[in-house]
Amino acid sequence: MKNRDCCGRCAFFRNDPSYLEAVFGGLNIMSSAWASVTSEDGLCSRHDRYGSASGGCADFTPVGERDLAPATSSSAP
Amino acid sequence: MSKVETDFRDAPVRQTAGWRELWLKEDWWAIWLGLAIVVVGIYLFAHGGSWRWVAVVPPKWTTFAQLTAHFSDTWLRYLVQFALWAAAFTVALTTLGHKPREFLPAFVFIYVLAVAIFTIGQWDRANYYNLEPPLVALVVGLIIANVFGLPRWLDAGFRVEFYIKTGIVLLGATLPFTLIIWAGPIAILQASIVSIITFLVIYFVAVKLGLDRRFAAVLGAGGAVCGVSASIAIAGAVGAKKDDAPIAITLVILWAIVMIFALPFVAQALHLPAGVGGAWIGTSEFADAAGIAAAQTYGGFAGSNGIAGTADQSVVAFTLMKVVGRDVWIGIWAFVLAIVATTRWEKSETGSKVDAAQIWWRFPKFVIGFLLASLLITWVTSSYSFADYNKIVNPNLVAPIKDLRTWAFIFCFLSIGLTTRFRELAKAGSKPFYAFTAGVVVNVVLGFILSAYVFADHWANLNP
Repeated sequence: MKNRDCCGRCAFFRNDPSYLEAVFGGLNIMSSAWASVTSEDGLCSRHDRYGSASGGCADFTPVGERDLAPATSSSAP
Repeated sequence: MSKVETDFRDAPVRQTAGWRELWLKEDWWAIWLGLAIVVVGIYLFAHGGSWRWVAVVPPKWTTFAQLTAHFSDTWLRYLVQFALWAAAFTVALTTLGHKPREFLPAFVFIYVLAVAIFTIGQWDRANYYNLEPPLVALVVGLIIANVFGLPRWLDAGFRVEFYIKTGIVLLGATLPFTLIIWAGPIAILQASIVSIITFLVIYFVAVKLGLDRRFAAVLGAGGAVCGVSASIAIAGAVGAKKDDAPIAITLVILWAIVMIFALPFVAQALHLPAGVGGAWIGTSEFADAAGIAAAQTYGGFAGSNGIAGTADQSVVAFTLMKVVGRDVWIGIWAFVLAIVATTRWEKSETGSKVDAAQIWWRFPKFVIGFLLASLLITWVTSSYSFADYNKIVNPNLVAPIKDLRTWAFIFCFLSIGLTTRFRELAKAGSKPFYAFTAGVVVNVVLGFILSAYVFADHWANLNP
């Protein structure tokens, strides 16, 4: 997460492992959101996509400004 | 906004790259815990002691009187063992972010059930009735979870992956490193052939059926590489839709559970040697936890029913095939598919960056613990003759670690059943099902041909 405007610093990005296991039913049965293979991946609640924390898009919204930001593109994180 | 979304609305983004991974990822905790057991075992052994007293297991039994006598003599050893497991897991899981007040009651529940299942498995008629501990644990867990139901917070103690990874690190301590070097290349070759072909079959059938290419890749990885872990890793690497991973998870879990029962019994019907059966399971099961359950079940058949070989051959062949042959390549798969996704597929759909570093970040680190444990024990025991190894080293150092490994595996098998709530799995739909099933068929047939014909001698003569 070196890039300042990456998904990992966006208000719409969530990668808390408990959250991911709650959203992805069955993830904890034969894998884990705490596993190394998941790296820092998370869900973008604006575009409903699961992606890397190092990704980015035109809708990047700094934490704290989430409820103010209108969508500016249809691209996903 | 759903309850889950509301509950986690303000959860901070979790940064786990770099040194933080050492205490924020389950894989590393499996290494710390597994290697701690090995190192303490070596220390005790060097000073004339052993894990033996703590690593108590139910004995083979015929009558209840034998059982009663055993438990009245050894209850304190079970209590101490429980306390050590509970303390170690609590430290690890609390650091990862779980709540001890949720984990501990769940672990008491799972430990008591594990003692019962281990005991059933040691009954001298258990084999006759197919009461293999992995199968009993799975069935009991599934019945409890799906018929009676358990509070969801208890899932804090049902950490399938943590238990299986810890068990695999301990498994490394029971394998000579030379065996890994000798058998590893064949495992990699066989697993690579099957993984690539299975992935391509699922991917192209899925695309042909009209599914999105990212979704097809998520399905393909789930069937070809390492099950749910591969699906979720590839979903992240290619920027899949939110609904893609849960569907792949459903299909992997359903087929993995079918295979836990199907593969050992079909292998038994075909009288495959234990090592060959284990290699087939390693090639054709989808997840480590499910595969170990199937391989240990098949190992239980060895030595009877016309099955040549030993129980260890099945588990070791499985582990070499699955862990060394398939799991370690997930980072490469993710990297390659991320390149394809950003250069060949609809670039505008994703802002995911291709970063070669993800090969390392996604690497299943517990494999490092597996190899280190093997290296350590191999180094410590290298100066002993074969006779001394069997007389001194095995009973005092290796066998107790093997027994602790068996406990970790039983915690895992129970957790699979206890967390599998079929009604909560995402509905898959017919197209993903057909695509995934096509891969399953190819995988099982190809895995059988390679294990039972092409490399049969290699796997049948595996000597752990």
